[in-house]
Amino acid sequence: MTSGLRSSGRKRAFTMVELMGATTIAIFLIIILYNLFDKVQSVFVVGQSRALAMEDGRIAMDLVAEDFLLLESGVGGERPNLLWHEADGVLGVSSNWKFYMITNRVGRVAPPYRNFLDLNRNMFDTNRIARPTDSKFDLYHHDCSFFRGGDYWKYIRYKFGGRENYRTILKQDPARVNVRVDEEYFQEYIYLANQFTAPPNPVYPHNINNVVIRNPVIDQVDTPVGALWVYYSPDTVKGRVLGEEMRHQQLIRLDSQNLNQGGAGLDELSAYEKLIDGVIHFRVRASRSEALGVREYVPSENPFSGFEDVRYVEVELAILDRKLLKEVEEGMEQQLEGLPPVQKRLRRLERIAENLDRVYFFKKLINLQGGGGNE
Amino acid sequence: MKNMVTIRAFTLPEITLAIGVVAFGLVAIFSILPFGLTAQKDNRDDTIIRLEAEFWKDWLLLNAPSVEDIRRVERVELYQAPTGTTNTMVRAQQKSVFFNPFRKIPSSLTGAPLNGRVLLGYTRDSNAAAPPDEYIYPLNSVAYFNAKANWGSDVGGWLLGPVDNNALLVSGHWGNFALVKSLNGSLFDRLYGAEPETEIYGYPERDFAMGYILQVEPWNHADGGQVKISFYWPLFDEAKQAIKQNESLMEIVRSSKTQSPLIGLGLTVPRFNSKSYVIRTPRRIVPVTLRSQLNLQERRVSDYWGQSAEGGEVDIAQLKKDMSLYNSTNHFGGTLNTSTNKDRRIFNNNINWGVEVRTNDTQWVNQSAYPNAWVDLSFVPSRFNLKQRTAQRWDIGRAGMYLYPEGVAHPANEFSIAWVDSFQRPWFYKTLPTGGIRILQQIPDLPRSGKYKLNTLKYGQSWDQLIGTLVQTNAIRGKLLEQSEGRFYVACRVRETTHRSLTPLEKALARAGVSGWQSNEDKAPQLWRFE
Repeated sequence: MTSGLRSSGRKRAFTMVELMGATTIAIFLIIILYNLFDKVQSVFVVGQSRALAMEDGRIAMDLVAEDFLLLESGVGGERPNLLWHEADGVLGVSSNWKFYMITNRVGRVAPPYRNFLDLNRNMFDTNRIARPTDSKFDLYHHDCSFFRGGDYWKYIRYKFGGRENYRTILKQDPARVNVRVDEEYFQEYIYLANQFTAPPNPVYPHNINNVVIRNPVIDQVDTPVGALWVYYSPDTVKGRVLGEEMRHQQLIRLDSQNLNQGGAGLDELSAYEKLIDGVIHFRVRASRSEALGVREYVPSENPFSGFEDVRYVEVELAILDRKLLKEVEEGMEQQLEGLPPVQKRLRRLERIAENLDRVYFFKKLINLQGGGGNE
Repeated sequence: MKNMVTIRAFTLPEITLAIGVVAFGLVAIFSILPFGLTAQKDNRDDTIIRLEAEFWKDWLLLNAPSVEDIRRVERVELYQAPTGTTNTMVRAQQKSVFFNPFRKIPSSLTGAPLNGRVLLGYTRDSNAAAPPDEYIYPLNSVAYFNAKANWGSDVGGWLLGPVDNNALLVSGHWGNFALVKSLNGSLFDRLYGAEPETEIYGYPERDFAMGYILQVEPWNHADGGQVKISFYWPLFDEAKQAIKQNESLMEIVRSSKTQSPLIGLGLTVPRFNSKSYVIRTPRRIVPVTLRSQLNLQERRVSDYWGQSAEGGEVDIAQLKKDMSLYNSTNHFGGTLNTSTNKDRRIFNNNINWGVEVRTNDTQWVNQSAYPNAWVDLSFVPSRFNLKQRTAQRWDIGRAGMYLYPEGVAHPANEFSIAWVDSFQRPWFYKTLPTGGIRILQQIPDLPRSGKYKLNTLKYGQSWDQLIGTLVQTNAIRGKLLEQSEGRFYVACRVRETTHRSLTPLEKALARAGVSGWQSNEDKAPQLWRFE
């Protein structure tokens, strides 16, 4: 009685051939449908991952902008109104590297040269092709603090740090090399690679390299990816907000001491909160006049002291989507096993450069002078 | 029929129907998929556009501060009402188009090669049939350098140009347009959408980078200024094709909105997504004060605070000190390296005049024979500070100052320096009773020899008088300084642009043979700002 077909004397069933044919057709259909579903699913996941990255980045930028918008001048005497910090520790690095993280890019990603074609000659010619200047993206890892006014006052510090910990320690890299990059000669420590075109050429890297790690610092960190951390002091009144800054510094000192003594640091990560994960670039620049461009300042050159207002602030953030973050971090672990940290960082940056469509860049101009509403 | 076998089976119509139902279901499911994916993309694009809108809002309210990302603006188009427009159905006519100067467009509108020169834009007059005035400059010219340096400030000034015709305001068929590669978004879009800086090479992926058409509609109402900014995206193939063929951005938007074909090209642009935002502010939109609108003396003094923010305080006491009298027998007042800073004097043989330098106690040599002539400058060439103006110090150009040769009676002889050429020789000027300007290469009544002074002030003028004129508006410019309780503040940022008319003085200098002036862009549009 298993079939809808029946005869009076004897049961008729599907023959083996029929069954096999049906099964084959069914399998064929299932494979097609599965592939279709898989494709759709992966496109959906990529799209979802992108949407989430966009959303995360937008929210983070909104929060950053909201805080900067209430930046106050003239709080701490000569204390800069907007202060860019050096790294948390300087280990074996000469003093002129102290402010390295403020004014120097820590790396660069760019499309390979061969993606820009010479139409006249219809060939790839590295000597003739000028890559558009802003097609090279310099990575910065900034750390800056300011006082936020309004109904309650706060000391606020935004910092690029590791994914697990806010700290960034400078450390001289023993494997340093001096190379020429983009017509400039840097007596610095630069690592270059480009797996798209040719093996790295340390002498004339401007012809081939599209991924650069350039610093003597954080060489114990094996990834260019970090997180944006934020410290908010408790709400206070204007007269006590400087004290909050000192309290924050004390927390950081305690954390360092604890770490240096072999401990795990303070339990609460010195009250830093992770604002957004998967960050490769965080840069804050400011200007005191519309006629001047924006830039970052080391403390000795910082013009925003006393009542010298910050006119506008430009904040940049670049983040990886979650899928790419996973691929670059956990996904490459096995492949990179045994390599020194700096090489791991370089290879990971290469992977990121191959997936530029999955890295999101946000830029916000924050007008501290107000002057208009919108709808 | 006892043994009749009854076979129950699906009939062919049943099977066909079943397959039809299944196929219908599958088609329905598959047809929904693209919508889901498109929705995701639309959401991302919406987020990007929102971020872009925030950027443009703050950038325009800040009066176009110097931001490198404005290099992502590829083209700006400005429109005007046809002459005598009162009909609210009429559309604005294209007036001016400016191209990103970093692009280095190597051919004119007709396609003729420019051979080392570049096309920066053009302006049409009200006669649309007449050929437009093209703005073409050599690649190594100061004007081209300045066009690049001022691109951001120019874009902001152009986009804020308010509508000046009520019929157009009512019609809605107007606005200032820009073609932009988005600032925010994926790094792929950012890097591949970068300005190529040349027309020669192909950047095949560039078209994939997100871009949009920006429409800015500023106008002044009774309570202040208002700006509506609208975004149109994505740039479909039809739009890209039209843009490449120099179709106007306004027409492309119109074709998309009305679904009517573009005149000339015949193609219809599919409907853009669009979003509009309105900015309201009590600040009115007013013309920018250009450096060329100031007289030379005002330029020189305003350069002192040139990079300060609007509203920033100016220390007038320090200004007077920094711009104090220069005495040729106390060259640089000993503030610089005295081994290379030698005293000066004028010589005049009634054929030529010039400057001599004292190389030792008794010996004076002509400036041209002075070995340190290019280290220890006599009159600093004006070209030096054409490119980048910083606070006007003694080591920066002398144009705008007055020469006071010893023993010469004033005010009959007022030697106003108009220009210092590359041989460190000043060119003087005199304003004629007719209002014209005469350039003087050989100045009368100059003594045969003697020391001289240079002063920012005219003969008989005091600092108080000069500062008094700067806090006043005049027919040509607004206030340069605001005075409040004895303190002085920057009233407005003085801007520079390549796209402007030459001043009468510049025309006179050009006639006299001083080279390097930009073209006279008489029809170039005005720049605007929030006051």
